[in-house]
Amino acid sequence: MKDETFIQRLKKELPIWTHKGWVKKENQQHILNYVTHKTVPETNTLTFTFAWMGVILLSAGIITFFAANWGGINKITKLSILFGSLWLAYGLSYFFFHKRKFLEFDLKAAHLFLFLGLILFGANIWLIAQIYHIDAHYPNGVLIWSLAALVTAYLMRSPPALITSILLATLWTAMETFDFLRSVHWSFLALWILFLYPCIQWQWRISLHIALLSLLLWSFFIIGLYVVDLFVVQVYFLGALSVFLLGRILINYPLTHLIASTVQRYSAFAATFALFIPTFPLNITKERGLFFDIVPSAGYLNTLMAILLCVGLMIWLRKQPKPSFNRIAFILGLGLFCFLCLLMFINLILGSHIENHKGMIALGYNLIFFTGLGWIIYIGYHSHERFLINLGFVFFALAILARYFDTFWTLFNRSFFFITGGLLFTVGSYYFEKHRRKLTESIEEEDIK
Amino acid sequence: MIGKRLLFIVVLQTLILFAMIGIKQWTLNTGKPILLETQVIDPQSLFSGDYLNLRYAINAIPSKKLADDEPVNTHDILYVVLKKGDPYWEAVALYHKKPEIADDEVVIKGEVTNRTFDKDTFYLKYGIENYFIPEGEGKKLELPNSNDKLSIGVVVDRFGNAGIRAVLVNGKERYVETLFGRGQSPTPTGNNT
Repeated sequence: MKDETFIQRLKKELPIWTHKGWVKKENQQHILNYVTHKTVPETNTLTFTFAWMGVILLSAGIITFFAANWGGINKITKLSILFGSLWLAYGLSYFFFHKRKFLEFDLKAAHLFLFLGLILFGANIWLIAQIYHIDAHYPNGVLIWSLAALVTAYLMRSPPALITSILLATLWTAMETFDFLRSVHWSFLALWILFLYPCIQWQWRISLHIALLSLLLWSFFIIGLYVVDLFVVQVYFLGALSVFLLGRILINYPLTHLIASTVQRYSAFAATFALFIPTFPLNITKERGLFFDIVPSAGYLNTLMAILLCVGLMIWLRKQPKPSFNRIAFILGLGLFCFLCLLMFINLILGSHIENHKGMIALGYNLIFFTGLGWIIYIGYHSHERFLINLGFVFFALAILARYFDTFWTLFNRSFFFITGGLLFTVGSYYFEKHRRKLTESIEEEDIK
Repeated sequence: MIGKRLLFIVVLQTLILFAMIGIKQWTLNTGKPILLETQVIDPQSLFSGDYLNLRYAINAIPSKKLADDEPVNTHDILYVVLKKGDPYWEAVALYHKKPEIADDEVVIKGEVTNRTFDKDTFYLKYGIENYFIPEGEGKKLELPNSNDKLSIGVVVDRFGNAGIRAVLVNGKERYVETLFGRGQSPTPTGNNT
């Protein structure tokens, strides 16, 4: 079977590679001929799509079997089915790992049954808890399941097991945070660190993205809990900015290169999102803030520590042999950062009187936010990072939309509000998209040159 | 190598599941039996049948029974001293640490789930608030005849962990828990621990 998509892409890429001097011009045709006439083995995509569907159906079947017959089955039979299905799944996994006659097929089948085994283990935790009326702290069940999946991922080098573990850990932290703690669930970080090693060591990119998404979600829980307190949002922003700066530093090291580029994207998103929140004139009351026991002195201390951390990372970044920002971008960024720190401390000093100043605070944050978006687009353009350009444009559009609603919702007649808004956004989106494309295309052209 | 790793995973997971059963069964086999007054609240149908959502008299304890000076917060673990009454066991004192008790008392471990606004009453759970029963039985136990009385036979081990041993209607055992079976008593034994 020929991979037509790959051939077409190669036809587009080869002139660029030749231009960059990676491939000699006379070899272009040889490469194309070789690829065009080479047949690649079947990838069994369809087979495995059905196989995965089969695994899911099998799991659902086992659960519904119990649903229909639970009352009529004695404990011995229940336990035999639960343990038997678990051992059978792992037995089949071993069979395919051991066999590996049709290498790719058997390896995939082995991982498939490994995954089924994990699902059954989780189901068994809940079903045994029901059989023996174990009514414990239920997030612990999810934690045990997640840990078992993590051990499986490490020992069997199984990306689906790691993804399962990450998703379960996210569920665990959500349960602990919202059903029990109602405060930051720090234990999650200890578990999350363990997800990084396989992602880096074995270069599991999808797992890395899911792990980072999980961390992002966990960090959003903090905002969800403390959104009424701008101090926490400020510290969150500084934390995300620190991770972004760290990502730009670690990109220079071979070991962390892969993770660093992905980390800085997620942290850039988190930081921009966090800075977007105080651009709204939030209705913060002292009572709501006190509900979460935030002590003002902790607000000062945490903000100061986070600022110092950012400054330290900036110094480290400047000392890198390969500068991440050009001089203008660095000075502009530093100016913005200083202005932001000033605003943060004004916000802290105003403290409980924030009700009276919320409009002014929001105005200051809007100024910084829009300038910051311009800075992100600028560094994205100069460092040829399309993600940053897109991020800047998306939040720019969101911020304009938010300010339009804030400002004109009460001022305009409703129909006039929607007509004007519709026109503004149709024209605006065309204008923004045109400029965004222009910038990203010019980056591509420069890359080719 | 893969075989050994896989075997380790299977053994580990199997042991975890066995441990869940073993710990519960140890409580049931070695614990002291007590009888608790209860009400059935809103039995719900899960995918596995019905379950009784049980509310015991000892789930709500007046704060004046707290025998030490430490503050009580949500999710704190407290030790409740229960004393044999007629016929139900009743809470007599609350402690942050496991206390010494008399022969006719037992200590059960509970987690504070809530407290009244004026802090007069603490609400605790003991891990015996749910009981799974065959499908269709839930409504019968939720709405017994007006004269019927539902109570739960519980055992408490020496660490304060509790487990449901039997469901009793009018003092007669309706369901009895054993390691490999649930004795659904067609001819109640009349055991009212």
